[in-house]
Amino acid sequence: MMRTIPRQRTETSLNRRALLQWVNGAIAGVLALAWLPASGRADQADAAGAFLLSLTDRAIAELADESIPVDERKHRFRDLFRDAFDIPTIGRFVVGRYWRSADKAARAEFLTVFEDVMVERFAPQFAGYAGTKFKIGAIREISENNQLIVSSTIAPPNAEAAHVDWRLRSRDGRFKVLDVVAQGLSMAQTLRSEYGSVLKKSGGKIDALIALLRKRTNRAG
Amino acid sequence: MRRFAAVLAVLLALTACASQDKDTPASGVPGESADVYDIEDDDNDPLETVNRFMFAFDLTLDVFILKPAAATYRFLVPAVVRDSVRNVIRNLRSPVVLANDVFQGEMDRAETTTMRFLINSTVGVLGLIDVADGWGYPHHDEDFGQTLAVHGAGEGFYLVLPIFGPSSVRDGAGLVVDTFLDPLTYVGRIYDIEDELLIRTAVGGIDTRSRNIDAIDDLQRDSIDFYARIRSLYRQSRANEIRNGVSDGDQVPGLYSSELDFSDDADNSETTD
Repeated sequence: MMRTIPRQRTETSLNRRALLQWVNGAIAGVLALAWLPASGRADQADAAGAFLLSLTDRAIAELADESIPVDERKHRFRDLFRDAFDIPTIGRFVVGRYWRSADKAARAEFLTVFEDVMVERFAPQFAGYAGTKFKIGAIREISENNQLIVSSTIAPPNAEAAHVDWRLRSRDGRFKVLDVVAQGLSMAQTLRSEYGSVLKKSGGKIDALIALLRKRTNRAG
Repeated sequence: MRRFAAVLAVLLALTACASQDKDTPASGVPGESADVYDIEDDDNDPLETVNRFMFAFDLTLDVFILKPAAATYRFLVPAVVRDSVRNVIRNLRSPVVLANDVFQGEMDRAETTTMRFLINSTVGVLGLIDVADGWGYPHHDEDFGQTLAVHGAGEGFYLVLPIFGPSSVRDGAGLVVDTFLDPLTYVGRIYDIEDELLIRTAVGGIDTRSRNIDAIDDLQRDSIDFYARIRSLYRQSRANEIRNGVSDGDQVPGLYSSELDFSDDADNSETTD
């Protein structure tokens, strides 16, 4: 059955049509606005996963080979660590309340020695990691601070798989790692507890902490 | 036996008191208004001096006895045999795990534990082979300390036990209760075997230590306060076990702080106050 469309419309019906169009447009606009952040967030989660994958790929490509000389290994890890980790934020978190009373020079000095400690600790860790299986799981978002937690499973050859959560923060479209939580053990929290204990014993002097850490890196290096 | 019961009663009472004031202070406090970066984490370690002494004692035992024994064991005994030893020890512990699964209302896990025990004790030849793992019943552990935590008990405070190492009032009490829950405690009495618990604990300890030699060496190498590091790791590890390994993404509340925007803080330290 064909419906006949009136050839001529009255002015009122035209107005009504315009109004309807406007309402529809407005609804579409509101919907679009509501959807936009959601899709933006999904993109961010994808991007976070991609960031982690490229990070682990890079770690294995550059550090897994056991024949890399020690100094070269440290050099490569340091570059990677600086690129991917938010060292100032982690540094301040692990010093805790004593950060505020430290002056500019002491803070800078702490961050330098802290980076050295991390390099000494983790650079050798990747030797022989070739063939490690890395799988990304759930990605959760903490909207307030642009933070995400990416769950992953890391299964090195000849070792049991470990569940590792990565806390990332996005800033200016770039991701940085804030914390690594392996089997429920947070790197940042553990260091904060340990350094906090040292700082408390030394009356809150960050210089004492720096001296101890420096002694450690010299001995290890 | 009566002495055990008395110790248990005291420990439980302590846990009950302690659970009322605070929960585990394992991580930064998510204070409502205060900047978490200004708060000193509560160590909840009133016996720190005694604990540090006990920790040093345990470390000495480790250096001279446990670690050499574990290293020798790892060197002499083939991996297959070592896995069988671990399987037997885990299988013997099944009744305790089962009881705690039930106490926690974890019926799926209770079923897993039951099936594991039945399968591994028969098809697995008295627990020597972990057949059940391949059949969809993977191993998990439980203890009464976790059960207390699931029912809302706080840790009390941190304790370092002689030989057993890091613990807490709650977990120490749990250890005692688990001994009572363990059929092996009574089997020895009936058949007049002495020290069967001691032997199992010692073998289990050596086996566990042999699997952690490198990890613990790594952990100790760059540490500047090993006691504090282990205290923190123990608490986090227990919290993880109590959650049954399910991460809630909230282990380190401090890192969520809105005060987090200070990446360039080192450059403008004057403005932070």
